[in-house]
Amino acid sequence: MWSGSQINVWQKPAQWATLKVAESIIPVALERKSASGPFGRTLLTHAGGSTWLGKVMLEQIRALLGSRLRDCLESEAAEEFLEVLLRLMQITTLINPSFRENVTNFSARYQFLSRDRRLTVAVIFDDGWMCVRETTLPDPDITLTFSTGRALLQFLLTPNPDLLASVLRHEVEPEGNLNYLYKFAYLARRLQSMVIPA
Amino acid sequence: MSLVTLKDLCLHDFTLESMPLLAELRQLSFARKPEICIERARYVTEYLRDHDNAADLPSLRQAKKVAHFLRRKTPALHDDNLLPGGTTSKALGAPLFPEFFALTLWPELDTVSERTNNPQPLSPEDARELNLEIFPFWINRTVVEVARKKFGGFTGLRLFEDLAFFIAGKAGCVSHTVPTYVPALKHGLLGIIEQATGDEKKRRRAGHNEQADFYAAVRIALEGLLDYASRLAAHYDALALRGAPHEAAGLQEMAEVCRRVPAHPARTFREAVTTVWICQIGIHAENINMAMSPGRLDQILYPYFDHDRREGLINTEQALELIGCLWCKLADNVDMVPEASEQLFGGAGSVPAVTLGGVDSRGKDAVNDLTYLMLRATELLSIRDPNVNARYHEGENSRAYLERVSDVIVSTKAVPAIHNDVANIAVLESQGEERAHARDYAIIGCVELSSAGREYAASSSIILNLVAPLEMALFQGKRPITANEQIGPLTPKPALMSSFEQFWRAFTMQLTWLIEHAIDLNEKLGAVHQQMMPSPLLSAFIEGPMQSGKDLIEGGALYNSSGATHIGFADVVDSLNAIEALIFQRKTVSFEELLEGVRSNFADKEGERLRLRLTNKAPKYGTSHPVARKNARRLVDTLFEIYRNHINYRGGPYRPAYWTMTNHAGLGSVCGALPNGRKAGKVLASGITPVSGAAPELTECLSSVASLGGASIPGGWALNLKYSPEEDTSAMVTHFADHVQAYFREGGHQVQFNIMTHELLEDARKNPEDYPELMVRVSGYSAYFKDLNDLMKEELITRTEYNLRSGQAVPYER
Repeated sequence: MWSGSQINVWQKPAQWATLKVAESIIPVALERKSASGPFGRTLLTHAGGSTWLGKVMLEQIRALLGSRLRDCLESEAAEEFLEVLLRLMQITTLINPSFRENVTNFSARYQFLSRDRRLTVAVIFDDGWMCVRETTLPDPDITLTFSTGRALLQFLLTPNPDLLASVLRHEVEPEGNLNYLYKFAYLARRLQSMVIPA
Repeated sequence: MSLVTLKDLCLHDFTLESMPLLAELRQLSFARKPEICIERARYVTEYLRDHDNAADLPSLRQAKKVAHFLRRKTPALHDDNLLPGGTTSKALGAPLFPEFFALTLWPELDTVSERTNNPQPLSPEDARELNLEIFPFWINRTVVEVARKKFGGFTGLRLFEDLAFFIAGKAGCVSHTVPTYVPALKHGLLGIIEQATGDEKKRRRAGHNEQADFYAAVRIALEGLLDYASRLAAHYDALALRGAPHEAAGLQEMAEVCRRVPAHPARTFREAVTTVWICQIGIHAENINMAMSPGRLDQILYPYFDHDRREGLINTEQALELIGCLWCKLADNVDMVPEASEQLFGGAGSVPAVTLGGVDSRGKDAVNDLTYLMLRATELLSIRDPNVNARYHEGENSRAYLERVSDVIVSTKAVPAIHNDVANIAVLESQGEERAHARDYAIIGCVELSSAGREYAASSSIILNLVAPLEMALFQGKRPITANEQIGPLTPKPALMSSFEQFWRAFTMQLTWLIEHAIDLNEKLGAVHQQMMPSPLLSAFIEGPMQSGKDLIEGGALYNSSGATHIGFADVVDSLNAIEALIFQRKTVSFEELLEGVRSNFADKEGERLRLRLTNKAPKYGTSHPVARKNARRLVDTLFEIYRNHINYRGGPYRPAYWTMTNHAGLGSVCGALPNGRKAGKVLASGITPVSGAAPELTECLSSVASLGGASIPGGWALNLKYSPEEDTSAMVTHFADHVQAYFREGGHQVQFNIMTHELLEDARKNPEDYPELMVRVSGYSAYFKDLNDLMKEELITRTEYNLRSGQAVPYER
């Protein structure tokens, strides 16, 4: 399942509790349509960081996800890398105006697939909003099939970018408009630099 | 009558010490790091976003886009070079062409300035503009994406994007051509504009609006270039007013030249050289900086040099200084290379080729004093670009000329490459080119042949990995790298084959299938280029379009070929040799054994024993073994026949070639083990060169390669040889010239050298700081050894080194 793999990584109860709150709020808050009702707007107000509670909560979640992304980069256990990356991207899009600027006026549909098809994740950007779902998109701009989480991580984030070699070795197989992949890799690396400053 | 009057062909009196300007420019060329220039990307995007008229025909649209950029292009001045401006706004720039692969830089916008391998500085402001303004505009508009939208996700595109089968040149450029600047020199751009304006009116009156629009496009693009030249003049005038008196005179002189040319006909050598340079800048505004080669400069500039010398307007030193300035300017740009490509294919310049010597269009000796001045400039500067090529025509060119060329190679240890006029002219004639046109050929980029200024050669259209069809023949249409995916046709199981002919049929079936998809993609990308990337400015500098009213991309040039080069030739020939000799003739290896060895990358002791048998017992290309010679010849002829069945979208032929740049290293790294005993991931042999260590006798090697010469290789080849340096350089030059002559007599087309030892290169790898200027020939072009990726360094170190005196390969043990 999408969130199952990372539960054990949130060791401290406070962190776990924060995450659970985040898990209930963020997916709703990040969906523009879901957020259109009064309840959604309330959540969005908090999750969007426009209140003291929202800011504290979101910053804490972002810090936790950032820490987890660091773990993914430093350890060999990279299977949950994509989930951590996408959650971090979502939340940073929401609370960080300079990062959000990257996806303003940007519309794109990404499909991520693990080669064994155990992971089927769709990412949709729509003018400053980012939505992540476990589903298959009918007409993505690009589909990225990867052999392992480690391969995907190396493809996107290693210090010496390995895009071409990964494709040549068939560890990662892109299909569709590669320009969207370059854009996504830029977003991922920007996030990486925010989490692990040079 | 010989045009050589120089007493000292070596021009020994002229040195970097006696010419401080060249010494300074040379020093700067090594000190400068390439910076990314976004200027062209900014202005072409601005034009298309804010000013484009979608109703314009493609050539008109392109001309307006290019002129919009040229009218805003920075009039740069970075040093004391006597020539104005530059191809980019930077002293050494890597321009971005968003129509093609510029967006591959997107992931690296924040890191490209600091990356480990060949960093290319980019300011944060420019990175931000690319990220938020320029790249988003192009995300669905690049040549490849327009092709995908127009034709869907077809097989050719899928194979290309897999990267391990072939590279489609048109996804990144057409470029690769030799324009002629003679009309600009004779008539000035105003003269060409006048002609275009007249033809535009005539065609409009006759109702031929498409042709009329083409002439309008030429006019608009050239007017943009003239605007740039006049802004250069104004800029230098303004700087002269502000500068010190001794600087002011030079700036005012440069401004004066820019006011005169390229608008008007050139009168002096300096004006002629400036015309060539500004036109060269112009074509880079329109087409990407890939092998835009200015051609036979010793021929087209000679009348101006001769005139000035006779009139006492110039002396040898001044002329040499101007040539040196032009050489440094031609090297003012490199390609933007994303880090991922850098690791596999990096280290190249933009390879503008200059061609010297040979014969003229009447078949007479064309070597003149300027040829020797250009050789001396090449020797003194010893810089990566321009890629200097010397033509040699036995019977017409003197032995003294050949020895001087050899001398420069020994002195620089790498340049120029030498080309055989007799073989090259014959092969161009066999392609249907008129004899006079064939005689007036020039080199494009690495080694490709082109009738100078008459041909839109697109010589880098297809770069095909020959290992792919070999692997597909071994594994019934599959490749180890793509596991169980059925890529090519299902050919019979090799283990059930009873003759080599059966395997050959399977191999050629896979080869034909792959080539046809590569051609299909090239044709489709060509159709997209016709919509997106006509070349009205370049069309003014090639014979044909101005006469027919048809853009180059529509087939307007006199000759219209497409080049297809091949990676892994020697490894594939040796693999075929091993299969034929060991499996079917001697029956010392079974196909099951071979396939298991290849599959397992010759793992364990048994595998290693098999690998050694394949390496040591099978016939090798580069020797006189009849099986090796037959298979090499047969492969060359087969490839020629496959391509001969196709005509390109401009109405011209496909020309097979054998040069590899650094692709033999990059593609080698992803190819599995091969039947010739090469292990998985190792580099492939370069160009048409035998596998390292496979050809121990130099004369056999030269003879074996030369025997492939002729009509079947019309696209050119790169034979890369490494010679041990000798203490007695004058004796070495003589031996060197002898070997070249013998090789050419046997039919060899081209050869290039590195005069250095295994040990020196090994030391340069370990201590790059001790070899900042070490230039090497890769496979068709020059590079600085320190800039090459690890794979290429390894390939150059292990490349067979011959001792010229003994004619034997020098043993190399690590």
